[in-house]
Amino acid sequence: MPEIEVTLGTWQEAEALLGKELSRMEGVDAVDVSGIRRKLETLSFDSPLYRDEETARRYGYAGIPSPVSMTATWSLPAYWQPGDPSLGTRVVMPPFPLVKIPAPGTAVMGTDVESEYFEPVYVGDRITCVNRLVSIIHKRTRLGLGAFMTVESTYTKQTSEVVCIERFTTFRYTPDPAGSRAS
Amino acid sequence: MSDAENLAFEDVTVGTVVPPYSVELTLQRLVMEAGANRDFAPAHFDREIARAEGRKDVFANTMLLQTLFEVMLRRWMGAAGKIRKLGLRMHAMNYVDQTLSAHGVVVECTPGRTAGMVKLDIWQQTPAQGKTVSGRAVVELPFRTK
Repeated sequence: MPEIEVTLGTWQEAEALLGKELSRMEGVDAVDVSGIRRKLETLSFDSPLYRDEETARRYGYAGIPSPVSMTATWSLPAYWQPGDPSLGTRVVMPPFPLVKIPAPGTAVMGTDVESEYFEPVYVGDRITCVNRLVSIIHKRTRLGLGAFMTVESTYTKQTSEVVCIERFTTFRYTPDPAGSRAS
Repeated sequence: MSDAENLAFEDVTVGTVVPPYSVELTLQRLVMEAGANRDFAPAHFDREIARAEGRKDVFANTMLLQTLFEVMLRRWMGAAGKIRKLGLRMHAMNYVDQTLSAHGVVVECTPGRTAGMVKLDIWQQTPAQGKTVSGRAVVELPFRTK
């Protein structure tokens, strides 16, 4: 049975990465209206702002803007590209950096995500993301012994303008056999 | 879209309630969401894998929660407002086969030079689990013209 591939290591190894760049991701596709529509479709929502250039310009945008909450999606690389072996039956995982930090604990739970949005992302933009580890706070919770680790992701577009800074915190822990499971 | 449908800074005050917006977290909805946001982690749509990982069931991913808040705010603001900050604390997984609703209430209004900043308490809840997500949003609203 496939499981999330968590990189195991020591807290010293994790702490050595504080302030350092963990990874850099480049979105495989340019921002496009079809991608926006498919995303909003799942929530039964439509607005001319996200598909009609004239409307967007009337509201002061330089083009059709993307919903801000799609920023991370636009930074994701391909799961397969020419030259790679076939995906076959392999379970693919998004390359989110927090599970790649070497640390004790096989379990990971997302706890907080704080996003600040700056320059709009427009149709046609290419989004790049740089991830840095910014804090590790050790704690025992009802789940077990572990640490809250926060990664700061800075998203920029091809012009180098920053579009979003997002801080994502996960609790990495060794499940406490006697403890209650997250519900 | 007419300008009259757009929320202006003068339209809101501390205590103003944002109309809630909800989504049915069917398994198919979670699959559609994974396809649209490209987070293919199986814990969000493969019940067998989710349970093998120790989860009760598959659950909504973070990007769905963020977009549910964005849609709630966009429906309320119309096209003119801008989302400046979204902060979420996830208290519990939002499991499949229930209705997840997003809510918000204005807690602070600060006029600026060219627009107003409005801070909101925001949260999401399900009938079975109660409040599963809480947080803060900051939106920028234009001043009324004329």
